[in-house]
Amino acid sequence: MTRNSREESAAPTRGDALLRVEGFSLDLAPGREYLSVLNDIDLEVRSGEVVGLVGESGSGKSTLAMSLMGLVPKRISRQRSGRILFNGVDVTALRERDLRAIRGRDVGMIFQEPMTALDPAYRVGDQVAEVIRRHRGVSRAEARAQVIEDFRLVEISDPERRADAYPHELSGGLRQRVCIAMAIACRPSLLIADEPTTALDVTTQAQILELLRRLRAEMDMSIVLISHDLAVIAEFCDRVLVMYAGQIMEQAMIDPFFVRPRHPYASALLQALPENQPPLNELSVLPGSPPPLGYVAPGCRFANRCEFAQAGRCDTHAVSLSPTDAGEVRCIRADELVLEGAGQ
Amino acid sequence: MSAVTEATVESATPVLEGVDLVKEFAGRTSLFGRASSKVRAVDGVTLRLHAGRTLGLVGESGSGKSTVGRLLLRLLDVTGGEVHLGADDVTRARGRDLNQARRAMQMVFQDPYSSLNPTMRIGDIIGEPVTFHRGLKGAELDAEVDRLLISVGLSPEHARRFPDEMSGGQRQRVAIARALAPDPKILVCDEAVSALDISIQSQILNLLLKLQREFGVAILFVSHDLSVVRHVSHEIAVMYLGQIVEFGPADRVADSPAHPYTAALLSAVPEAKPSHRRARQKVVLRGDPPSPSRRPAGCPFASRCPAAFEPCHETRPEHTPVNGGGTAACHLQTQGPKLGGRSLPIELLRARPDEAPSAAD
Repeated sequence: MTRNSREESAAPTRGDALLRVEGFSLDLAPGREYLSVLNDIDLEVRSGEVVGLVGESGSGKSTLAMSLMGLVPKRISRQRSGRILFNGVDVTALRERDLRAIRGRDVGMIFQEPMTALDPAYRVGDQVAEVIRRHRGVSRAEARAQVIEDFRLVEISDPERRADAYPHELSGGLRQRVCIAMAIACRPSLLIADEPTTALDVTTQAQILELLRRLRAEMDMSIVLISHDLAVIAEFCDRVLVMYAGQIMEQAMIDPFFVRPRHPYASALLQALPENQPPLNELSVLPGSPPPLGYVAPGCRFANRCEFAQAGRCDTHAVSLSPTDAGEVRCIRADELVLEGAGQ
Repeated sequence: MSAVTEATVESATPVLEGVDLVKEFAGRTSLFGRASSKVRAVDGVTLRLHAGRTLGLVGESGSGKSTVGRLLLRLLDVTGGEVHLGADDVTRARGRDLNQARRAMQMVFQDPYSSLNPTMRIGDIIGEPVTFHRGLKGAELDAEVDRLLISVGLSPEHARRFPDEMSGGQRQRVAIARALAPDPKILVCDEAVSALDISIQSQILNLLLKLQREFGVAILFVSHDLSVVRHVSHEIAVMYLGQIVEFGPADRVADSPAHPYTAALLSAVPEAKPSHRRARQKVVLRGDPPSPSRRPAGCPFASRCPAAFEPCHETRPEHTPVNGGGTAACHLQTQGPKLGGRSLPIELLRARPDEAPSAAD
């Protein structure tokens, strides 16, 4: 697979930071008041790396994914601090016009529901061709030829016929393949995938993950995968970041994380998985509900649900990330605790 | 297809039984108003629910698993087959008889945001079926609502709230309390935890296990999530394209599947444990299931089955017994490798080298 049209951006070599988020905090105003939705996010995605972002609803994982490409509407958001460097350029300081040039060309995105990402009134081939023409300025015929080639690349059989189909004429799996073809049309160096298989059946999910794995290897692409499904993260990613109430609670390499998580929240999530208990036995439970959007606390944000929390210590002092063997953790008791994971 | 669950160890009378259930929906009408071929969503399904036990019904979208749940509860009329509630044939029950039957069979839906009336207080949502089916009023009714709220892990104060004042997990508890209100013998849970966060999912699964132990309710647990089904079920039935292709004790089906579709489905489930991830042999199926309106003559799975051979495309396989309990409908059991009740060797599902990888219809 050769890389096309990357002359404009200096291609980083493997292992360099392609994306670096530094101390990023964002407030959102879904209603009248601003809520703190992302707090002091640090994150690095190296060239060719697959990073998983996991969290429950309201954790801020999707807002973070949108922020990476400046997709959070400015009129309802307020950045409090930090920057987001893509290839060394601060995305948060770019104008909409410059952002649009990056989106689609250097960064591709796929979403949970391929039906809403595609326009129902246009043939899918034409929608992919439009992306190619916008970023490359090639002729219609050339764009069409590349659509067919890309449909083959994402393993759509009979690509000429499929290109003339409308989205509703395709199955969910095929629609997601079309979205992937669109996202990789300009051979981006980064792919952001927000719950790309959540709406799909499990056998289709396996197909799509296998496809993404292959494309990543062939195109040497970095991927940020957002998912609520820990097992999907485990199978697909090199590294994982666990989000809770707008903060990163832990980040670690995959295998050590699943065997020996360092944050009590991560440990509780892993132990709540049904495969961790003998069938028909009571599951390990994390009490309470995920906090609502904008939840803040003077101390650790997880303290009120944490079985290891110590009054006067965990609930009073804000905690910062500290290094571990496999990554970083936001817990002042991390060094005292030996936590259970998903088992060997 | 007949007697899928005949091989079950259960000898007790089932509390609810669906025999050879068939459901056809009218296909899309053409431009000139003529209905095209009918869609057979459920095609000869037989299953039995027993008191205090859970039958997990797994399948992918379009497999007909939700339709089976609705046929059993008489929320949909059958095209063929019979529904027996205990000793009564309720297949064509109407009016008062149907209401009587409904009291015994209740449902919990996937989305607790749309299944609760937002303009009603929680106490009324739960109280309405108590009054309707059991005739309780006044202080008796209030006491019963309190008892139901407590049994699902909520408190009596929640009775005054509205659904939008509660979290997703709390709402699903309300939906379960409402389903329990008529004091049913049967609970059908249709993707009841699929929309919930992991931490809430385990709470609700524990609640269902507890309620079953306490009240001996029979549960049909319909879900696409195999790890969840495995955890809560005593028996598992696997559906594909309107038919049950494999049935048996939960551990046997999950650990030694006999049908290629079950094996493929299990191997597609992502694994969190690093050792399991490395040990597992993956079978990635190609393509999507065929449309239920164009059903194949032979085995419903033949078009995607890596081990399919001639008979699979021609004749529909019968269910045959599997070692360790249950049955599977697969020609490999009786012809070709003649597995004769043994579980399926995963090597049979390895993609052949001449097969070009592509997403077919």
